[in-house]
Amino acid sequence: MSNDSLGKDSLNTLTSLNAGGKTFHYYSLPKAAESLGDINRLPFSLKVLLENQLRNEDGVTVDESHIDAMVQWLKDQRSDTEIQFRPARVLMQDFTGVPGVVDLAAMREAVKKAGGDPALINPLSPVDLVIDHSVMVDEFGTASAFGKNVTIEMERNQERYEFLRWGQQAFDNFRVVPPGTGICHQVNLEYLGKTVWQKEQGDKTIAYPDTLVGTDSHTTMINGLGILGWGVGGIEAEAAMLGQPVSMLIPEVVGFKVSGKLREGITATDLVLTVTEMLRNKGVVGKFVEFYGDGLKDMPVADRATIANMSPEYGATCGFFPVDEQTLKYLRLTGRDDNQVELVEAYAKAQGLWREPGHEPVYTATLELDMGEVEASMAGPKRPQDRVALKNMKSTFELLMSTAEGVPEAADSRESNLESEGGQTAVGVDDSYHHPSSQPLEMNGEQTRLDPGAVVIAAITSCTNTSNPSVMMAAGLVARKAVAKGLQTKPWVKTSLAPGSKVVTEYLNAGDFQDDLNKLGFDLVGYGCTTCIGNSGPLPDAVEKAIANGDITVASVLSGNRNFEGRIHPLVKTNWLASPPLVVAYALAGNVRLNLQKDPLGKDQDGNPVYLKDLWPSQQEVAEAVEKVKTDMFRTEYAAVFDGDATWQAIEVPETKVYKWSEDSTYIQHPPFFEGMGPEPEPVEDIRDANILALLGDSVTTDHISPAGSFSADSPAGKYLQKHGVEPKNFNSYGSRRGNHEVMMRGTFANVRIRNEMLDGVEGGFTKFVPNGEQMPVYDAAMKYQEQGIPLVVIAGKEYGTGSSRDWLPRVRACWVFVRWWLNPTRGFTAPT
Amino acid sequence: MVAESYERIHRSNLIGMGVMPLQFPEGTDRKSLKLTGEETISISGLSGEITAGQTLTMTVTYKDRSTATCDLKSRIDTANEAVYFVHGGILHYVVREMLKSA
Repeated sequence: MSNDSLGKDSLNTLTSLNAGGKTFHYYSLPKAAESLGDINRLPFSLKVLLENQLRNEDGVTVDESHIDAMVQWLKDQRSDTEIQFRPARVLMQDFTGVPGVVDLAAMREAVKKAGGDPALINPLSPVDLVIDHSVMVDEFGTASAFGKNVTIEMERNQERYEFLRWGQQAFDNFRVVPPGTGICHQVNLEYLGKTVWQKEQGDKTIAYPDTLVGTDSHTTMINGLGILGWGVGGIEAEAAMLGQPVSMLIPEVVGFKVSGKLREGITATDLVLTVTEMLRNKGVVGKFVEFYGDGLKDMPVADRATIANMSPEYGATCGFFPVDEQTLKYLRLTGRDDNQVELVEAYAKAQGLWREPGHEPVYTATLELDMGEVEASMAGPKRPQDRVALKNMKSTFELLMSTAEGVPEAADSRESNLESEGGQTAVGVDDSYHHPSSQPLEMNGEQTRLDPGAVVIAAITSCTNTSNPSVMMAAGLVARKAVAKGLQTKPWVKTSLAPGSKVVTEYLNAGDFQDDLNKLGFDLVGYGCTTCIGNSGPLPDAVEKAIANGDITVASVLSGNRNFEGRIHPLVKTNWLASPPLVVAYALAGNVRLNLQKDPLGKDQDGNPVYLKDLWPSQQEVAEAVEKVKTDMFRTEYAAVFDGDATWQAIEVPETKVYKWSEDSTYIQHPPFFEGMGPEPEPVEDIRDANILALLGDSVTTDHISPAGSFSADSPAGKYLQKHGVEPKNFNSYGSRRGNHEVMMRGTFANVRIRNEMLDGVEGGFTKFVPNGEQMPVYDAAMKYQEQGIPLVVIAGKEYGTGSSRDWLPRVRACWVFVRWWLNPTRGFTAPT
Repeated sequence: MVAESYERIHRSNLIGMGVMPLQFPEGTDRKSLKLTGEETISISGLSGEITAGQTLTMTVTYKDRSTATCDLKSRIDTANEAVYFVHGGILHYVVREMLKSA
C-alpha cells in the first residue's frame, strides 16, 4: 500500500517549498507539466485529482496511463478512464458512523475467530466522527430547552455513546467530537479542514491538498474552502478508512461563472436556491461543478460553503471553489494557525491551485449567473430545486391546494361548527378565509383556528445556513425589529434554533441578538441537525390533533437543505426552505398562504400593520453585525472540541480490543455479516422465479427506502422494540438505531409516504404478499417469503436512491442475504441455525 | 435490484454490500413491461465471470404464464466494484485480504 512509502513518481515531480519556517516536500504539478505539456487550464478540482495520482503512483492502482488520462481530459473535457482516488481523511456523523464502527468491531471479531490479531483492524486514514444527528427538539421556546434536550439525548443514546467511546480508545486514527458540540460539516469548515494537509513520511514532511470523503451527503460543504470532498456510502467510506481507494471515472466538470453582486436585501440563501434550480435544470448528476469568474472576488467563504453544501440538491458530486484571498481570510478568521495559512498560500501558488483574476479553466460545459438578478426565494413544497420567488408563495400555495384537495371554499357548514366549538375569537387568523379542512385550536387558553398553510414548524437549522454569519445575524436583526414593534410568533408555530456550532451562540450573543430571538421562541434547542433531518420532535398535542382531524395541509419553514415528503415531520405535507431571517418572518406571519412582500405579518403595539420591509435589515446593518464575529470565538470554542460535557466524560469505557456485545442492547447488535464466512467467496448463481417485493415509481429517495426519522408503535420496528421492553416514548429515531440491524431491517421501505404500485392508493410501507394477496408491512412480507425460500427483487423507476447517503438499504439486504432470501441465497454465507 | 437509473451514492452502496444494481435498457421500464407486481422474475447470466457493465437477461413470467424477456445492464461500473461484489461486499473483501496478508 502506498500509505507508508513514497510513490514511484515516474515523472520525477517531488520537490520542496518553504512556508512558516519549515520545509515541505510536494508532488509538483508544474514539474509534471514539463513532461505532460501545459495543464494550467485544467479545472482546479481536476488538478487536485491529478496531484492525487502523482503522489499515489504505485504502478498497480495508479500508473502512468491514469496520469495521461487526466491530461487527455483537457482535450476532450470528458473521459472514460477510471481512476483510484485516495482521500486524505474521512468524516463521519453518528447516524452513519455508528454502523461503520459496528462493522469495524464485527471485523475485529471475524479476524479473531479466524485466528488473526484483531488489533490489525484499524482505520488507515484519519477518521473524525462528529455526533450531531441525535439531538431532537423535545423542548423548545424556553431558556432551559438546550439543557433538557442534551439530557434527554444523553439518556436516549447512552448505549451508542458508550460504544463510540469504546471505539475511540480501541482504534488508532479515530477521533470523536462529542454530542452537543456542532454539526459535522460546520465543525469541518470551521475547524477540521486544513485546505493543505501534511504528513510525515520518512524524513520528509509531505504537503498535499486536503481532500476527504464523508458519510453524509452534505460533506460537499467543505468545497467552499478549496477542499475537494463529497459524500459516499457508509460502506465506501469504510473502504476509504481501511486504505482502499475510491474508484471513480474522471468526471465531467461544469463551470459555473458568477458575476456581479447580490442586491440590497438578498441573502446567500436566495443565491443558493437560485444556483440549485439552475444546476438542476442543467443536469449535473455525476459531475463536478466548479465556480469561477470575478464574482468570486468578494464572495466570502461562508457564502461559498452554503452553495457547496447543497451540491446533492443540485445533483453534482461536488461544487468546488478554488483557493484565493477569501480562503485565507476565512482560515484566519476561524483561528487557524498562522503557519498553516502561510502553507496554504505558498502551496496553492506553487501548484497553480490559486485562483488568479481573469483565469478561466476549460470546462465540459458552462453556465453563468449575474448575482444582481437573484431575487428573494424559497423552495418547496417537497423538492429543494423547486424554487419559488417569495412574491409568488401565496399563489403557489393556492395552486397546490387547488390541485391537491380542491379549491378553498367559501364559508360552509364548518363555520357554524367552528362557532359552536368556541372558535369565534381567533387570534391571528384571517377571518375572511374559510376552508373545509380548517380546525378550531386552543393554544395556551386562547381560541384560534388552524388553517391550510399554517406554519407549524419554523426552524433555524442546518449547516447550510447556520454556518453563515450574514444570514444568522440577519435573523437576529429581524427578531430585534419585530420585538421592538411588539410582534409575537403565532401560537401554533413550533420555533427552534439549532446552530451547527457553539461559535454561533458566541456571535449571536456578541450582537445581543439571542435575547431578541428568545423573545420570539427561537431559544437554543441544541447544536446539531435537528429539524433538518426529521428530528423536529413532536408538535403540541392540540396542533397534531387538529392537523389529523382536518387532514390539513400545513407547512414547515426551515433554513435547511432538504424538504422531502415526510422528512421534516410525518404530519407536515409541505416544507419550505428559506433563509433564517425568512424563517423568523414566517413564524410571525404564521401562514405561507401570504404574500410577504404585500401582506402584513402582524400588528404593532398601536395596531398598525407591520410589513416584512419594516423588519428586513439593510446590507449595511448585516455587515455591521457580522463585524462582531471574532477569531477568539473560534479559538475558545474549538480548544475544547473533543472534550464533551461532564456526562460524556463520565461514560465508562471498557478497554478491550474486541467489543463486548450486549444481547440486551436495542441500539448496538453484533451484525451477522461475517458469520460462516470462508476464505474464498462462493460462486454467484442465476436468480430463478423471484417474487416482486415492491414496485416503485421515479425518484424514490433514501428517505423512502430507509427512513431516518421516527416510527410508530404499530410498525414492525415499533413492535420489535416493545417486545424488547422499549416503550414508544423511548423509540428514538431509525437513524439512531442503525447499530441494530434488527430495527433497520424492519424499517426498510417503511416511510409513511412511500407508494408501492402493487397496491392501489395505499401510502406507507406496505406490500402485497403475492401467494395469498394479503396486504402487509414490507418487512413482514419479506420474512414470509424467506420462510418459503422465495427470492425477491425490487423494481423501481428513475433516480432510485436519490437523497442522502443513508446506507441501510444495502446493509439490510446483506442481513436478508444472510436469511437466505435475497438475490443469491448461499453466496458468502452459510445458513443460520 | 432493477431500476431505470440510480443515484450515485446509492449505486455504490448496493455493490459495497454485495447487491447488484441492474438497469433497464432505454425505453423499457415497469410500465412498458406492464408489471403489476404479481409476476415472477428470473435473471440469467450471473453464473459466469462477473464483469463491469455486463448484460444479463431478465425473464418476466406473468400470471397467465406468458413470458417476456429483456436485457438488463449491470451497473457494476468498474473492475474494483466487480471484485467487491464477488466477495459479497467491501468488508468481506478487506477481511479476507487482511487474513491473507497476516
